[in-house]
Amino acid sequence: MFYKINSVHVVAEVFEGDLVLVNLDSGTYFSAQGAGPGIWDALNAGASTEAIFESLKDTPERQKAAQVFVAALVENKLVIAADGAEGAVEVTRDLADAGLASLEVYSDMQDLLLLDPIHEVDQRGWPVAKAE
Amino acid sequence: MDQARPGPRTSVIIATKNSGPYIRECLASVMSQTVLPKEIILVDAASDDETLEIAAEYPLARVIQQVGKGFSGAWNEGIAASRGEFLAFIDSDDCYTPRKIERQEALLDADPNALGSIGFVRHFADPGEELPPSFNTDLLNSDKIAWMPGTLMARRALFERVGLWPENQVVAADADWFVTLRDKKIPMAVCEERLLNKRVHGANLSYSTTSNPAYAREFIQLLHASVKRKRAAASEGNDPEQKA
Repeated sequence: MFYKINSVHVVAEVFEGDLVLVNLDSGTYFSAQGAGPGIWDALNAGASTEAIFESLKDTPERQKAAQVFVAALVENKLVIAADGAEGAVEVTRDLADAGLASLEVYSDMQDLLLLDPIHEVDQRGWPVAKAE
Repeated sequence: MDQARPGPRTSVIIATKNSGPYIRECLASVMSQTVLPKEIILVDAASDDETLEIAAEYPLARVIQQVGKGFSGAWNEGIAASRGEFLAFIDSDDCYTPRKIERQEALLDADPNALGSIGFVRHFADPGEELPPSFNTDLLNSDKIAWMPGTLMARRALFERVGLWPENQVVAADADWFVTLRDKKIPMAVCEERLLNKRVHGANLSYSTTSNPAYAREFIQLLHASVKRKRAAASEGNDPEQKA
């Protein structure tokens, strides 16, 4: 399977090695740790989940954590299915050394996040005052 | 013998900069409160439109010239200049509902442990204002609980606990302040009614989290700071998080 960021509703940034993701549609935010940021980068670069999991085949515990992590990305609508790239994208980052992938889920600021007036991440349709 | 009613107790603080198009409506909403404020402090950043002339029409309004820069800095200068027991804030393009001050003073009197109060907001757009297709129209159609300065009434002690409005951020300072307040689990009294009508227009939509990349980065950064505070709290035995 191939996935990419659900860019209409999700913004993401890395701070101090933590990948922080916000789903502006649900008002939930997330922190990815361990191999999580590397897996996120690999998915968005066009790597398949099979290639990512294969790179962790020698460390079953980390492979299992990666599978749970990707399932959580999908469940929380942080990624959406993508078309596979032409030719395989190699997983270049050594995910096995990065620790167990994990995704912390926070919903305590939902009411604050859902007050944002625009819930889609794009630049279309800036408000314009109608001519008199 | 009846105890004398306390005099006006709340300072309302407004940051202005060429706020002419909306400031009269804003000030009128403050002056039509069922319980009047002690003072209205306008911290003005060198307006060269009619803002100050309009302010002069309101006897409770006192203008101070902003010394520093930025929205947070203006509010902080307003706090320093204020004399009220309670502090309230309003953007110069927004309007209070008529019982805002009355309801929140009563809530804080009834709950001495609460260091502040927030309430609900309804967004509105002036006729002719064209909103973008991606605008969340639900905000126009229902009242939402609002952790935002315009619904806040604070005891002075609240700023001692949370700190002043952060001045190191361009646009996400108020969100940062409220997230910090909530992470500290400071007791607040929630008013279950609408206290603020918030105007939506082109200029303030640019502060959308999602449509302004600089704001999005600031916003995610403050959420990261919140994550770190939660981890620190969890390591002390209070675990508020879930793990996937």
